[in-house]
Amino acid sequence: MSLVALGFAAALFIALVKQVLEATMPRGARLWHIVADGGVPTQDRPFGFAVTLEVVWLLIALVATWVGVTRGRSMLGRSPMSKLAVAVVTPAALVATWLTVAVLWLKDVLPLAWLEVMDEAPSFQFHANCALASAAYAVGPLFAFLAMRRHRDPVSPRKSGAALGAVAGAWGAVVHFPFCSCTSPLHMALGHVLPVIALAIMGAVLGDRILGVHAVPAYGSA
Amino acid sequence: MKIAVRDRTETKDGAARSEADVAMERYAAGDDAAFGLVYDALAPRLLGYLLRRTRNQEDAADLLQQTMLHIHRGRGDFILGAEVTPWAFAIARRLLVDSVRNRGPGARGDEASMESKAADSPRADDLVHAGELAVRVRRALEELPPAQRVAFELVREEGMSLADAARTLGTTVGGAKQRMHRAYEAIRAALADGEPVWRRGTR
Repeated sequence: MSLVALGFAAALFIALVKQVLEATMPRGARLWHIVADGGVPTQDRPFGFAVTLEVVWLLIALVATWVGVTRGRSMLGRSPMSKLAVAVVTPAALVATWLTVAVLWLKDVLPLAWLEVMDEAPSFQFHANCALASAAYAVGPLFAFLAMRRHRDPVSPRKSGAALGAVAGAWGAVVHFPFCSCTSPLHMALGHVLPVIALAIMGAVLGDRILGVHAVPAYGSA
Repeated sequence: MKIAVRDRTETKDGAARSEADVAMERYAAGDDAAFGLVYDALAPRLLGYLLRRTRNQEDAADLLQQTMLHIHRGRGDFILGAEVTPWAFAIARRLLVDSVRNRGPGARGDEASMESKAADSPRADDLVHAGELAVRVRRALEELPPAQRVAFELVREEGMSLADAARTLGTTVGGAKQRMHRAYEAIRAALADGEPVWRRGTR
């Protein structure tokens, strides 16, 4: 568990560094959130919308952690299907809940406002910055989870890795969401949910090597 | 075909625990002396399983030691109340697959070919002790897809429950049950065939 704490501490450290850089560096030189002047109509995001979605995403991250990281009562962990479900359902749940909360909070201005928002969607760099930030927050927890389960999964290391990646990605989304002021559907997909999928894929790729149980080559063999 | 019998004890809450589970819990709690009990409870079954797969005493012994090493390394996060046997067999199975892959391109193959390779011919003791019927069953087993055969062997030869076998194989209980069912069907068909074994061997 100390590894997990270390991973989340890394995520918080990144958040702190990001805030310090944003506060101290000139606007044009910011490393994060280089939002083009001229304004995307996203700064007036309803506070209730942001808080509600943050809480809902926090709950999703907690449930995903419970299913995807803890092993239940078996040394082999939960079933491969459960792990796969975590990897697939977590980003889908983030999208679904964002859509639901957005509809509830923004119903008075729907659907026209959303179309306008999409028309005036932020630049690719804006999406990339949010995606990068979300992924950066998630990398620490991901490697902490992987280290915690290192060489401990003899059955389905790839699926375990994918689940751990999705869980870490969900935490990255939870940490980064309050810092983002954009409600554009395109931006939510590219900047906040895509990193979760990317982390799940990354976890699956690393899972076999890091989580898998491997035989030591016999003496004299290649 | 032998069926392993596991000694089981009742805990305070009435749950049945094998001696291996109880010993593993003691070992995980820091009782180093309990490792001997864990080894004694698991090693014979694991070695038998590995021998049937590798057909090589040295390889099986090496994989057994590696399996026990993984169990030793994993003792720190052993879950109280968890069963050690499916975990141990899953480790042994994975190490077995991995060891074949490590032998290089000549010996490398997918898991299915590896598991098929382990059963090129019926065991001599089957031929001697169980006769033609056992040979026919064994041959039917060999012709099964590896997933079905391993499920059958874990349950019938290692005495695992369906739930344990499912966990070891990384599938659901329903999936393990389906594999068992198909294995039974294949064996039943082979037994109903009635063709003499010696004729099968000449084709």
